[in-house]
Amino acid sequence: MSDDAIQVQGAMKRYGAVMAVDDVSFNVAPGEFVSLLGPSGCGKTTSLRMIAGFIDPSGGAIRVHGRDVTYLPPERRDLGFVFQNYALWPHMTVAENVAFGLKLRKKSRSFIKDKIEESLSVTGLSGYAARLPRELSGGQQQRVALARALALEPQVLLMDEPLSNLDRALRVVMRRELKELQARMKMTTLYVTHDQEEALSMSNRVVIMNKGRVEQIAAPYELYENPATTFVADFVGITNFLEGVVVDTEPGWVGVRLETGQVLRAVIRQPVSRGSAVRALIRPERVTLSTAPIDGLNVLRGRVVLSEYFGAVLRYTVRLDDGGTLRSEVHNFDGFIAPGEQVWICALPEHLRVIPHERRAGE
Amino acid sequence: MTRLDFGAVALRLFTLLMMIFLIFPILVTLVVAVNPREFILPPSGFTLDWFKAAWSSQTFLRGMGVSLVLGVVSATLANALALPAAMAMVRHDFRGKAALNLILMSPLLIPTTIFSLALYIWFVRIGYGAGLLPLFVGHTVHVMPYAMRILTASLHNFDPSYEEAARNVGAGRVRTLFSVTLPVIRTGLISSFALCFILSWNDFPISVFLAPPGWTPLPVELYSYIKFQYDAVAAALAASLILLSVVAMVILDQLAGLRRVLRS
Repeated sequence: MSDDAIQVQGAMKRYGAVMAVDDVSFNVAPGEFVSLLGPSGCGKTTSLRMIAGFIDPSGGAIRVHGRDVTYLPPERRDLGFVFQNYALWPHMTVAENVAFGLKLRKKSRSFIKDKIEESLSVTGLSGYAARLPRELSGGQQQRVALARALALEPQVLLMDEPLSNLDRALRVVMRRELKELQARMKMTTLYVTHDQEEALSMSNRVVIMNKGRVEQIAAPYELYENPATTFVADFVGITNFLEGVVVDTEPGWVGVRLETGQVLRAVIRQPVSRGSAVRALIRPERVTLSTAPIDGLNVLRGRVVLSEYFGAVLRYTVRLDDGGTLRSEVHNFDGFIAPGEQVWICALPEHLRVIPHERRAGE
Repeated sequence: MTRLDFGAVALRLFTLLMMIFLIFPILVTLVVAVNPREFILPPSGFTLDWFKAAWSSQTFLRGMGVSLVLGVVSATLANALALPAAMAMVRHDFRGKAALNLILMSPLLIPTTIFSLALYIWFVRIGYGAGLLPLFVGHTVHVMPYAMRILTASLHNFDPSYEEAARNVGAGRVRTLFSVTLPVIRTGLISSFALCFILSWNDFPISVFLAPPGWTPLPVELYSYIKFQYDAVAAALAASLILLSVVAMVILDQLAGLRRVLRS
């Protein structure tokens, strides 16, 4: 584990009676792109700022390439940081912003000049060296902030919601550029965002945080397909939940009895005991609807209450006969099902995941 | 429409009257300063003799020098003290913050004469009386609340992530202060310094109580002069200072954007 670029162990931050970060541990491998994802107030930015050294942790340890930096001042950590509001020094030109850190390192004048040129060209800003930050657009300012960080060739790049102040179209473009640049330079990156699309599309792994704690650490695919907790399932994408009780277990599979008495077969990742309350969940795109009666395992009956057409996708809201609601998404459709029509719903066992009901303080 | 016009005309008239009211004393001073006959209006000619007399008076020149040194030193000290205090006030929450703020601002609440007298009595008690140290301390304490006000406003607008960004690229605390914080709040610093200097330059009560012999600032010299002399030398000196102030205002505006400062 000591060759990790970043290792966070049991990090904590207490503000009065509130635990902003509560026993958070994760690691980032060299060259890896890891995101901290969660709703606002989940502790992701606080965690990042502790790694950068802007906030002193109340407990735990932070290592960068094996070196304990927990209580080092920020200027001695050798980490790049890109701020949400860019934080470009307004009295310095673009070139001076980029050069500041290099001058502190007593680099030669020609080295600094080359480095400015290189990092500005990498970020697509050649020709802007003499501008002041206020003469640039938001997207350009963010590029300067990136160039300023990259010029120092930091061991790790930390980014705090760098795209959230940009408009949506630009955000998507910048997201791709950033990912492409990161992959090309093999830059170890820890990225904080509340935007799940950003986290899923850019990261090798995602750390999902909630209320100061880590909910799950996994690759984007794993996160979406195998959420470890209801919070993760709910926060990442749209999920249908079915409440029930375990009546039957075998390795990898369980039978879940719904309130109606119907038993559904579902996949299980963590062991659960018979009789425990669980939630079975299924993604809307895995739910198939049929207007003709179908027989077989895991078939439910209901009535369409709403159908919404979005071009590429058609979304149905279905009221189940037992009173619950399911959402279904169809991508290759050949005809609408009108609201009010009776439908048979198929939730294939391999697409139905069971998560134990969490019993946690505050819930 | 006619009602509206009447309102507009009334407002203009009122504004004009107020401007005359404000400018009239200055105008009288300027007229008296170039009038050959002392204090008799309307003016009967034009002369620069009073100016010559004012600018060749050793007493006034020395007073001006004293005021200049006093203003620069107390403005510098006040800002050097007010900056860290304002930083603590803006960036941290601590017990007794409101009380401390009140204490730091208290020179504003107490009439300057009372304040000067109290300071004088206190310095006498601890064995100083009037003297150089009491004079500089008095001026510094007197102008510091104004520096606090302006610097607090500047720091409220200062984004702390500028400092974090500097620390992140390798600058220590001191380097960050001088390379980032101070340049970014430059406008506030310049206007704070200018205001402190002007307040010290204009002060009369503190200097009367605390200035030692040989260190009489200009306002006190002027006062003793006009108490006994009935010529226009004082008016000429005042006129010179008004003109100097105008020049200073223009320079300050170019340097720091006075309009922005006055608006904040």
